[in-house]
Amino acid sequence: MVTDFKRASSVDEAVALARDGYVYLAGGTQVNNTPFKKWGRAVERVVSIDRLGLTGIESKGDAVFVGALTTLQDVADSTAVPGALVEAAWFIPTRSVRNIATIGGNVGASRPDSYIVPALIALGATAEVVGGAGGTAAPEEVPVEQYVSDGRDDLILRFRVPLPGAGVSVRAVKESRSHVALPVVSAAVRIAVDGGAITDAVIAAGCVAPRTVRLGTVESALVAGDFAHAASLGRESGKLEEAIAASIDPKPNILGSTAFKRHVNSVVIADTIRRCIGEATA
Amino acid sequence: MKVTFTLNGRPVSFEAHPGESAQTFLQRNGVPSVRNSDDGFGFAGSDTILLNGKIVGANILLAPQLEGRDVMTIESLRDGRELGIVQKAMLEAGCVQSGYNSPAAALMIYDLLERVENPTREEVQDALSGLFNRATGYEQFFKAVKIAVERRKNPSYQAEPFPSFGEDLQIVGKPGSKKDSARMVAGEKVFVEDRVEPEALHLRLVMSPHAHAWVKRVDASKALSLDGVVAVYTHEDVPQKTYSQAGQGFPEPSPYDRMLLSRKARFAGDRIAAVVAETPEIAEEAVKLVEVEYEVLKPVIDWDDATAPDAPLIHDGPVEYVDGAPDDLAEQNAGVNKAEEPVLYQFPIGGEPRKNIAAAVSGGIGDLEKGFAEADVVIERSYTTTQIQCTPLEKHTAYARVEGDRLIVHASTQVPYHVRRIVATLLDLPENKVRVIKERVGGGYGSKQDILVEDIVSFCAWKTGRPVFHQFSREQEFISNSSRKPMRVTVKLGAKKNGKFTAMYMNVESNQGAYGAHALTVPMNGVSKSLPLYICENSHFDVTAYYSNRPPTGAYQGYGAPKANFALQVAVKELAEDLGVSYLDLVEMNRVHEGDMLEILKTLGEGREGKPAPATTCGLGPALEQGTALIEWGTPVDSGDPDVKIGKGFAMVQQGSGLPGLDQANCTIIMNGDGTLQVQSGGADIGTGLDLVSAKMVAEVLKTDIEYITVQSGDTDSAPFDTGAYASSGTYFSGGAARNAALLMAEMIRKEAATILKEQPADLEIVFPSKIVGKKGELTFKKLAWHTQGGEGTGQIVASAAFTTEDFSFPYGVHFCQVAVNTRTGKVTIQKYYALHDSGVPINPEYALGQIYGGVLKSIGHALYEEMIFDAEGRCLNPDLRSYGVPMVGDIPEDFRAILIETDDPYGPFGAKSIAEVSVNGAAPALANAIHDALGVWMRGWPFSPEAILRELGTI
Repeated sequence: MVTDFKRASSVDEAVALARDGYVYLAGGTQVNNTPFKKWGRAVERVVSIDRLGLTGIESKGDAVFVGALTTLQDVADSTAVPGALVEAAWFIPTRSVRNIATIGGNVGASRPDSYIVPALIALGATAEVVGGAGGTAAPEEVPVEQYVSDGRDDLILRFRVPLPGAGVSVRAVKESRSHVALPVVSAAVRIAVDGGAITDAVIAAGCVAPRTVRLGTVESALVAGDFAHAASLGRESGKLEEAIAASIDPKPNILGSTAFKRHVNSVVIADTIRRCIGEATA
Repeated sequence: MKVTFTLNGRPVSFEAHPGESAQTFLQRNGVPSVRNSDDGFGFAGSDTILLNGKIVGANILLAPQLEGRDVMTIESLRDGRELGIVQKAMLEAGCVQSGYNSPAAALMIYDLLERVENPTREEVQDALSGLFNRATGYEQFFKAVKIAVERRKNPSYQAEPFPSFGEDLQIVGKPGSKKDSARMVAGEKVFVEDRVEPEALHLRLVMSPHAHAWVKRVDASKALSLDGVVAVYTHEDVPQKTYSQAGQGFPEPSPYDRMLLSRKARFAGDRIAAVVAETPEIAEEAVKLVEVEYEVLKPVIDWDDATAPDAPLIHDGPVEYVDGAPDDLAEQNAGVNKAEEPVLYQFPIGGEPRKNIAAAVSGGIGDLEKGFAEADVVIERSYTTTQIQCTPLEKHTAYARVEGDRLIVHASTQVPYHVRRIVATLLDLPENKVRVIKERVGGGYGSKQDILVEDIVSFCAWKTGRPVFHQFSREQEFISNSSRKPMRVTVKLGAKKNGKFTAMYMNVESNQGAYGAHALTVPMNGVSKSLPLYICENSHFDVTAYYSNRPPTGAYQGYGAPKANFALQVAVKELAEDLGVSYLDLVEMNRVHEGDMLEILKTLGEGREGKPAPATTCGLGPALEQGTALIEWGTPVDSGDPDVKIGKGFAMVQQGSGLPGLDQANCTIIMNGDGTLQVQSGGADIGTGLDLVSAKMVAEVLKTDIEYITVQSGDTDSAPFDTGAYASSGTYFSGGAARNAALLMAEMIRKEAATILKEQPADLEIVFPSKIVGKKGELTFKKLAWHTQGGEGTGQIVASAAFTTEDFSFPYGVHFCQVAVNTRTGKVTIQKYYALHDSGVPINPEYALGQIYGGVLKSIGHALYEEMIFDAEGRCLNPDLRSYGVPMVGDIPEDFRAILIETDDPYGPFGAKSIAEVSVNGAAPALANAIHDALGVWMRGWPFSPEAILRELGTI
């Protein structure tokens, strides 16, 4: 249970408090949970960062900058951010949570079933971060993928989200038993096609490991042209599904067995890849 | 720390603990409407506020996060006593029943209409996405939004009316809001938690982490040394006797097999010690300081564990009987463990605790062997169901206090008189020393038929002499509560080639959990509410309830019917497949028809001798006719997507209307000095509109405007006895008592008026509004009251009557659905769901419809999503609403309709039958049958999850 609540009036103050063991409190939908899932125990000291001016969505050139304290409802309602991120924000099933949960808080909490993290990874987003335990004092730009995979807890100031260009399709996808049930699939796919060939592929999958992961072998196979023939890419062959299934090892839990999770992730992600290829090609 | 913010337009500043949730903070500082259903999981929405104009859950926020913000609660939507447009629209649409989070719903709709002028269905669903509504199934919220949208533009807008019933009746069968709904949607203090006084103590329980264990030692010394701890009680301090928590009529057909605090833990969550302290925080801290030493025993998890040759015994103490001890009792008690509490049966119900059997019964009609021998086709199939939680929005709550030599219990209960009896018996008090006040109940669904917190809270209050409050956590709702019994139901059917049934057999094996509440009646109801849907002269059943180390089970809406009916209706469709005949034809050939005698009921007496009863009225025919037309039965549908297969299904349902020969209801009507009426009903309105039923009964008989009738109910000091709100008894029994009392008062009125008007009573007629008209003159109730209550009067007119009956009244229905199943993911989408119900003459049409929607959505949840999952040690792994899997507004069928089919029942008041439970019996078989139609696979176990479907398809 939280026994000490402070509100930072500057980024420096927030970072200093974090170094003293305070946890950054954004919207609070994760940190206020008992236990805080990232730690598996309750948080005792928090520093609120809600007055640091970290909100807002701004388009600049070929990217969109999204403040870390921007709520996921504002992301969902945005016409500026890429569609995959909007899709991912809408996957959070309740408006009352979207209204308070923030994009920075979501990434900071690094839930394995986050909808936002796979989308940001697939979009190639970076996070501008500062300080934090073991971090540097000066702001630095870190790929979201690295932030998550390294288990960092720096203070995120904002995200830079590149806009997908021509020949690129990015999609987010989820699957759950009911509308609000915890997901068994939370993934995002990015496919770039040039001259009929896949030139870039990113497949970020939550729900299959303790953190969101990339399915590197499948990405490489797609770019290498292993599925270049319609017959091998097509659903009838099942080769793409097989490749995805072989690249993941989800653990059984209350949401289902390994066999079920492997199957449902493989078919849903494979279908999303095919959709992205179609859109990127068109 | 001080938190300064704007509350409903007013600057305020209150002290807060840094870790205090904003919900607790607001409620503590005078905003009762911001409630807690899920302890900060951000799921149920009872804690909804508008924060800087946005809908959020206060429970997931810390109080300091409100600093400098603008907070709006439901209190801001009303203008003085006048409700806002949204609140009025919700009342008119009938979507406020148990009402615990109706203020939250109103705020969500208000927010929606501030954002969107003419919202679509999808936008309404999104607006309500954070609202868990177990009572009314969401559908009527769309009507409420429509009314509110139009009223904002045109205050005189008239909404499309609900259907009316009872052609010759003026008030019964006509729509009209119930009074408590207005109070609930306004956010008034109407629940138990609103009665808690500042000086109240707080109770917390030490619960066993082991499913099966001896308590070797309890050391409370560290807890007792904590400042603010008033007492710690263990099994040594409580009454040394067993009892049952089942809120059934005495003598109960449930074993007395538990102590108030246990010396042997029989499930993970069993209560070992009770800590009473000055604050909740101190009590929680003290719980951690109570040291308990356990000797862990092997747990029994399911039926097969319970019957294994070396199965551990959950109850190994002596078995005792009040009446009718079996001849082999001494043999049963050979070698008992005297350290264990005895198991006391009031009378035989087939229990053999030392075989892990809590209750058992067998019976039937005709010659089963002969019936199967005559059959051309015989099938035998087993079906399983899971342990399901009732999940009322208002968790189990009780507040007890001492007034002089009396104990006052504020309870959220379906059975105030059973609470009084059980608490009084437990504490060795006469019933006159105990007063139970049933407050408004924020959802019961059967789980509040049992005395799950009132017992221990009352004990602690009586022992300390101070007020004591306790509300379960949501986790306790799952692990320490009662729940729906898992069952394995085996059905064997025999039929001639033409489809005529020759024999029916049903074997119900019920997983009772640790204690024996409703061990006989729930599984037995599975038989009595399903087999009579078919007429077969050779029908038999066996029922066995096995103890296990699962959390205890009890009553849940429908009792055993949702499970047994699932098994039977799917088995009939499986038989149709084997016979090569149409399922609809097979049903039509064998189903019950109006006037049929239900001989099987003579063997299904619920602890007493049964008797056959006729299906006096039966709306199955019109329901099947209308339903098949609506769903276009027999017309295949192509999804256009090779991965998605469409299927259609249907299932018949039935229930009872209370328990004839067992239940009793009473009502007193008092004429006030101005001719208005006070109705003192024993009936327990749990949000269903039972008080309105009572008022309508009186209004119809005494021709009085309903505004001049006030119903007082649920307080054992101010109303006469009623068995309570369970077994679908409210309208039939409590409503029947109100009607009987009104009929008696009508006689008294005529007699008194005849004297005054100098006419014969037979020449007087009671007419609207509240007057008596004779051949020569007329008299208002007001004048009559003045005469009777004056110094020369004959006394205030007071009429009391009971309702008992031996006549059965069966509500029927048919549920139709159309599903789309994705064969790659196994996911089921319900495209159409039509629930057609014969409930006689529906008294409150809009609330009857709401209960159908609510019942259907609950049972959709049970069939598709919900399940309590246990590990091998018997611990529940998903004790929260989200991971457990309740359905929300995003899961409702795309086309969702509840349809009332009127029949005129000769026994129910003004032709009414029950509506409360019957609607939960149809979804599982209708969906299973539709999935079979789509995929060709049989779903024989709940839930029909994507994984289960993929397994049946052979995909994984």
